[in-house]
Amino acid sequence: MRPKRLSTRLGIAVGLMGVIVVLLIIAFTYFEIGRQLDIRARGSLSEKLNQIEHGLLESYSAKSEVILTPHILNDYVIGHDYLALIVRDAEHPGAPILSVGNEAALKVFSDIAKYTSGYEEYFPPTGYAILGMNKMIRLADGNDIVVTLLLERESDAALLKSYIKSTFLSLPLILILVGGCGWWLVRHGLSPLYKFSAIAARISAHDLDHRIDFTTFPEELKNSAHAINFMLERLDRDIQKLLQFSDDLAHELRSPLNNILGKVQVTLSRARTPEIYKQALESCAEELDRISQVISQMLFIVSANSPTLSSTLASVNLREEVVKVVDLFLDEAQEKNISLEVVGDAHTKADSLMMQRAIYNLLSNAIRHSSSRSIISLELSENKDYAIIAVRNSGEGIAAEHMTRIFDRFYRVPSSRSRQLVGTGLGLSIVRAIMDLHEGMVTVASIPGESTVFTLFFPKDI
Amino acid sequence: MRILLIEDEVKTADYMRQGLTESGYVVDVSNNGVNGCHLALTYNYDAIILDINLPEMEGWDVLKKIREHKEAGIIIVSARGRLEEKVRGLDLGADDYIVKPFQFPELLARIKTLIRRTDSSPLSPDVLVVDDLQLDQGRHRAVRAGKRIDLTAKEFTLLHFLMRHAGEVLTRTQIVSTVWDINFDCDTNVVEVAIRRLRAKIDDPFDRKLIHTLRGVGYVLESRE
Repeated sequence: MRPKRLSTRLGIAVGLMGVIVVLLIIAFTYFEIGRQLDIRARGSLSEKLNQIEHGLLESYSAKSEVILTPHILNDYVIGHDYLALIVRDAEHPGAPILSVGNEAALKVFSDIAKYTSGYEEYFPPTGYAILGMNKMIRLADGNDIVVTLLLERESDAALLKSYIKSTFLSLPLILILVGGCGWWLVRHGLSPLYKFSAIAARISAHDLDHRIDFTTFPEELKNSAHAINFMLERLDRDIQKLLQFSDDLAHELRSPLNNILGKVQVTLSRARTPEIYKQALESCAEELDRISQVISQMLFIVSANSPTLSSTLASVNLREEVVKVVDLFLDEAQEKNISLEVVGDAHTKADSLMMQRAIYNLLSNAIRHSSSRSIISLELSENKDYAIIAVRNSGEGIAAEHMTRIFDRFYRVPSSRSRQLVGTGLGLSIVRAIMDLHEGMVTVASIPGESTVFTLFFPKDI
Repeated sequence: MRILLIEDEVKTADYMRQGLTESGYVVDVSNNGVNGCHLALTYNYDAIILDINLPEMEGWDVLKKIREHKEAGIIIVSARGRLEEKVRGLDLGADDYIVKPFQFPELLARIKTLIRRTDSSPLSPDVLVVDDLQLDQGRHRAVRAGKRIDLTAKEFTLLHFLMRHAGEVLTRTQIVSTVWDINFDCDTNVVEVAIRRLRAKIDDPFDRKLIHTLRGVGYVLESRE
């Protein structure tokens, strides 16, 4: 089973990794030490053998002398109880002339009765490895004798053994130490994450003010913290908008509802002629029509804001759509002595109903705010990214202080607050919602007292 | 013509029954899904108007059940206006879907279209006549009391629409949709302006007025004595 905590998990992993690394190092040093010991053992063996050869040639001139006075040779091995020396007649290798020294080494001698010139290593079933070397020496009397020097490698084995023993004893300690350090480091490194959850626990729709203080965070977490703060910022803004939205909606509906209620109550307060009742009903119907328009427009804006709306995109000839909408306003424009002109041409993919609606709202505003005997021009053009519709009218224009707010819901330029003039106050919000849905944009430029131009940019690669 | 209205809200059912009865339909009202479903399966109706939010049995289930056994035209009338819901309604076999709040004349028009669709009535005649006003579609001209009247193309389309539906109340939305082919709700006064201009030609010079305004509702063309 995996431990639940990340720090424990990483601590264990780091500890195990440490152990593996240590094991590898132990294995490597073990073999390296063994190799070095081997080289040294061979070196000393061959050096010793050379000394013996030298002494042998100096002290003895015949085989018989060796048999009679072996003590000179004995001296070479006495005091070195890991060495054994065997001297044989080359013609009778089975029967040694002399054999002294380490007993364990002498025991395996029978196996090396034959003569070889190099090093030989023997591993008796019990005890330590034995390294051996033969050398044939011709004495002054012409007889050949074979000198065999054996070395019991007890001390080397003991060294390696104690090395292994001590390192293996230290392994659990290393595991605990490395693992513990890993665990502590991870825990310490992750401690900023606790701040994330602390903030998350405090956030709710009513309380989005908390932000993560990431000044002390490491770089990697700074980015996440920043992203989360940014997300909170946007949520906060959107929720503020929603609150504003429902406030506005309630406010906008309150006054027509009040009109209806008032009218009905006043009418019912005494007996009236059928004509008066009829008028009251008609007035109510008009107010109600307004309310239902506000509601359907608000729903349109909300649904256009949600990305789930599957919008029906098709190839659109902008000029056809513009002309269709312009058709609606021809009579009205004529009565105000305004002429409408459509210039240019453009094509793109769009939802044609929504496009008509956007053009409709802009044109309706343009006619409302145009001075009489003026021209409203609808200019179509396209560049490589956008199909563009510009609606230009001359008239009172929009003062700079209203520019940023005219796309807000229910925002009406205060000077023209009479409702008769300004409709629901949602027209431009709808335009912007439509452009957002098309991933396009709407811009406005105005010279107060002279002219205003609204421009719709429909992207071509939608 | 017999219509079944399945609607649980008393006030809504009340005014719809009144409106439909006054338009010449025989109306049965049911205020819950189970009863409505039973009525729909027992009798033959020309059209069924179905609300979705119903007690005891949801509108969707009622719709499914009726569709399993009956071919009657079904119009859903619902406050739920999301696209997915409309699609669901039509997928389940409804013929039309109207979102509340709706204009009553529009409901009437849709019922009419629905019954005509299931019924296949004759095409409108070439020459429409209301009182002493004649509209000749083939020759594209209007004559009132023997006097030739010049109409623009839009005026002709508007007059044709009004005369084809003589006696019926037509809302601004219906008129804008048919005459200008604009199919979204707009607060335009284009209809008022156009009607004013049409009146100037076909009503103003004569004593008997044919085009009548119903404030808050729409317009109707008929001869009133």
